[in-house]
Amino acid sequence: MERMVKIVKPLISSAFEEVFGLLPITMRKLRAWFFFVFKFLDHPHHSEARGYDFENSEDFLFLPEIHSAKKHIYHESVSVACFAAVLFIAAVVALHLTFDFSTLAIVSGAIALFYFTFVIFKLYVVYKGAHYPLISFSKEEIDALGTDVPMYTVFIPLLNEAEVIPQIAEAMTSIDYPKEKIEYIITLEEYDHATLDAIKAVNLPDNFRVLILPDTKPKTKPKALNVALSHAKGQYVVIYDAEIIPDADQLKKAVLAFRAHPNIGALQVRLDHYNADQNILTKLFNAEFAFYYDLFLPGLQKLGFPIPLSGHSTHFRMDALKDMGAWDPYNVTEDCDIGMRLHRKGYGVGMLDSVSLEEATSTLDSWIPQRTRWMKGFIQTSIVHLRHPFRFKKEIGGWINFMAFLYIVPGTIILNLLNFLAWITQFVWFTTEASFIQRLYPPAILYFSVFSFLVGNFAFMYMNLLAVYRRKRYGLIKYVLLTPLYWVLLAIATVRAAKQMIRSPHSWEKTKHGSHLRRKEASA
Amino acid sequence: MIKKHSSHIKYLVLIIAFMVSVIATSVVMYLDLANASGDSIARLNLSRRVVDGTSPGFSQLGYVWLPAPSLLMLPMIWSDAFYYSGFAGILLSMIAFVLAGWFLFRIGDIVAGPVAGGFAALIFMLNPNTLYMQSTPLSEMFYIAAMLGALMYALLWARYSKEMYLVASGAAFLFATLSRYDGWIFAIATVCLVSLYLYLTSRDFRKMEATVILFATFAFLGPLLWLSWNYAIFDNPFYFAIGEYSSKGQQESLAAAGFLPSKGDLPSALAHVWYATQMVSGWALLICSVFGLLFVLRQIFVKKQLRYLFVILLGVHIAYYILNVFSGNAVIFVPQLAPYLLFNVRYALMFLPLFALLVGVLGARFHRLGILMLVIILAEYGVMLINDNVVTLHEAIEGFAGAQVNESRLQGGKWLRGNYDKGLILVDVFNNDAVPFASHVPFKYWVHTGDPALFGAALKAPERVVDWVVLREKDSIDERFRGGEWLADNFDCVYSYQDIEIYHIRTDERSRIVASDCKVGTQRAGAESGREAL
Repeated sequence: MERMVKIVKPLISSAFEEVFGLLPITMRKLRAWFFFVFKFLDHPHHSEARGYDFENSEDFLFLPEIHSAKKHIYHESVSVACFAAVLFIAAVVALHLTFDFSTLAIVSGAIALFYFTFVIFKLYVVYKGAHYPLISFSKEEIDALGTDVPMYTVFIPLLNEAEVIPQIAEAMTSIDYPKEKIEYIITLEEYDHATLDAIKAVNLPDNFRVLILPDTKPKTKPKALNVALSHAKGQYVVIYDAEIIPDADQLKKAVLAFRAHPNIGALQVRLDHYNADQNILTKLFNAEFAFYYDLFLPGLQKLGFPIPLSGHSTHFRMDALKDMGAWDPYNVTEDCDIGMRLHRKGYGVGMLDSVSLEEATSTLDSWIPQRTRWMKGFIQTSIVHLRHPFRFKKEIGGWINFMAFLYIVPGTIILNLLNFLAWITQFVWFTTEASFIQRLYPPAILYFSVFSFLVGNFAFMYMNLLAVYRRKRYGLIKYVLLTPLYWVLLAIATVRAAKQMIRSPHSWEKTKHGSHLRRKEASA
Repeated sequence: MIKKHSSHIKYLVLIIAFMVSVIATSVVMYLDLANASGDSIARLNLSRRVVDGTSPGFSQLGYVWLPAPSLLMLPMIWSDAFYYSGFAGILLSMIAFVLAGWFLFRIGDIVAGPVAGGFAALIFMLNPNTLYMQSTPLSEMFYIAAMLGALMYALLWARYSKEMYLVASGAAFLFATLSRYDGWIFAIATVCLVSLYLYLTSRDFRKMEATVILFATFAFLGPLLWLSWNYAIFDNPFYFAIGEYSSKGQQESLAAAGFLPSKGDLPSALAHVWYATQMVSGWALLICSVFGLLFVLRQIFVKKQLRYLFVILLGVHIAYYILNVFSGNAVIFVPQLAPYLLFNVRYALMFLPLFALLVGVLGARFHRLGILMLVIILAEYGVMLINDNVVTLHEAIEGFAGAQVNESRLQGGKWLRGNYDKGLILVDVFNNDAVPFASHVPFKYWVHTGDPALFGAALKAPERVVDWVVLREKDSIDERFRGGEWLADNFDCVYSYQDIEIYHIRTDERSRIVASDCKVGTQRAGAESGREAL
């Protein structure tokens, strides 16, 4: 068979060139036109020619620009968007002509189909994740590690965090790891004098270093991490945000996990909140995290799907981090983006059985901007990775992983928006019984939509319920029944994110930390 | 060792369940008894109308019967062969029967070991009434399987404290609560028992609250969906309870006819349920169950073995039916009491798993006694069969809604099968399900209450909408057309048998044979020409 191909292929291509040689246009022109229209098939991009530029001190973007969210409107993105739109319209027209379905019905059917498959996808992932063991080690194994451990670097990117400095200082110094084998790099913006003063006030040990960031744009957390990267000496790297309290033995567990699983490039730990009981918002936030870190991510790992990592408490091998070109300073969810790039580079991600406690944003003032940033980052990550969709499909491990990416990243955004749309539609229908809504849903599609919507909403809520129960947060359970209200907030944040993508795609709405401390003080 | 035995017995139970199911179904289908009862046909029609009709769709599921069995029949009901033979529904019952036997075995096994499970499964599966019911499209077997599945997983949760078992139990309750209203009460009772179990074992109120929420959210999803459905389609979440064709509506018409003897009369209600139970279970099983009950109560109150509570829980069904018969929400007729008919005796099938388990756990404790009890019970089953004393089968044939009562509809349907040529047929499908079924005329040619707009139009001016009218004494069409008199101007009565009459629109180009015993005066118009044509 291979021999046949070897013989036939040159014959066909030479014949092809002969035929086109007779035409007034050359093959080169034809190729140029083809790649102008189908730009998303044309790779590698010219920005990739120079490889990673770790010397870039202008904006600390080490990646080729085509892999960054620095610019969003590339010829590739426009081309792929147009292609997808044409494909969709063609499908709509074909269905219309073949089955005489109305355009609106086809669109509402497509939405219902997406919703249904999304529900199935999530249920399948959770089913796989529910019984999948995290990477864990016994106390004996951890104790046996002794002092024979590699150098570890802890990045602590801070901005206006004076209030929580005592807490992070205590949390970091409580980490059970040989002092001479661990270094802490705190990054600060040059104008953040309050945090600097707070750091000086707590008398940190010698292995803490404060790195003042250069006054360049963008002023984002991933840029701070990229700046710190060249100063790091560790074989492994972990990021802890200002308010994090990790398990004391987390680094030792990570070392054991990296040793036991050489194919793993990064480790994700479970996140929990120390102020979960603060108010209804923190309770629902905690339920969401319980689902995400206990059921969803383990399922993604079990299935070998790309994992959107979290912004802190993620442990990296230093060589893997450099092999990926470090973080994208322009992506406002650099964590999600780096998870995808890890997968593209063929590194595995492990779920470590260790917990980092963080502060759940407890007011809408801080929750909405934080979630807006996350959703905006998901949009950015979708745009960046889909610039060359076929190449992405190949690198990420085939069509199944590609589809998984579509559901995990852009799918999450679409789902949030669709939920919003569905609720509004239902509200209008039940209050006005407007006929135009009826036209959107011919009987078969109506049944399918209602079924998907009901089953989906119940399944998503129930998965949160189950996750909270498994975490033995029994007091929270009854509040999880209010999860649909939380989705309304999610939808609002997603709409806001979409708006920001147009107006200020790189703006970073800083999450305010320390409200739990203020609350403690107030109650004291 | 026990595990090894358990594994052997479980395969044996599965093999026996499968074989018995196939044999029983083959016999019942060979004797053409699967669709004997009116409810069997109505079940099949309900599902068929979703895919076949003037306005097909899920709205055909209506509001009276819970939808899970009808929905699960859908993959097969579109096939004429599976629909008219009833196999679309029978297969569902057969699968449910095998699962029910399996679940019962597992429940007995968890409570008192594999021997208890084996005894219970055999006693349940070999009961002739169980065997007949698993050979029909009725929903009882489906419900029993779902209910036993829910109970088994709840019991597994109690034993292993794994929350996933509660989730599985909740999922099984979704099917149970969407197949019969008994499931709603059983779900409530199970939630109460789970709470009680947690209270007795841990006294951790937060955990109790959380567990109940986790369980009840899933277990009550079915009722919630059904209420939503009723609200969405009929503008009233409780329409299933108060609608025209609801149980209440039926009981009202029965009460008007003086057919609700047990309403408000507790001794009568107890007597009806007792006779039904005795006829379905047999004396031997009932007597052995009493001893089993005493043993189980001893295990609970003296030995403090709380898992036996899950066996007792099945008794909720008995209380439910006694209360329902007493309150007039359900009706059971037994031949021993007025009005000396057979109706809904099959409800007592719900009690069989309880009796089987009670005997099973007793038999597991006293092996020799267990074998003796099993032999006696099976012998009585044999006598039931030999003496042609399978009461559910008799109910299907001779009962209040049985084949004999359906005879006129069946004959009418068969006549149409040979004479229908074209056009729409008006029928009040409620209580006349056998007509379309026996006619083999697809539902897309039938105008009935499932398409209210068309049905209303046909009632106003039948000659503009339909070519045929089927009416039965006292049905809504009969009442509308005053026994056919109003039809006489435009329709000829072409068939009459007992209480059924079939009319055909009068056409100039074609003379029709007019039935000689039609009650209305269509003979005036067409009898002569009909005879001439003959």
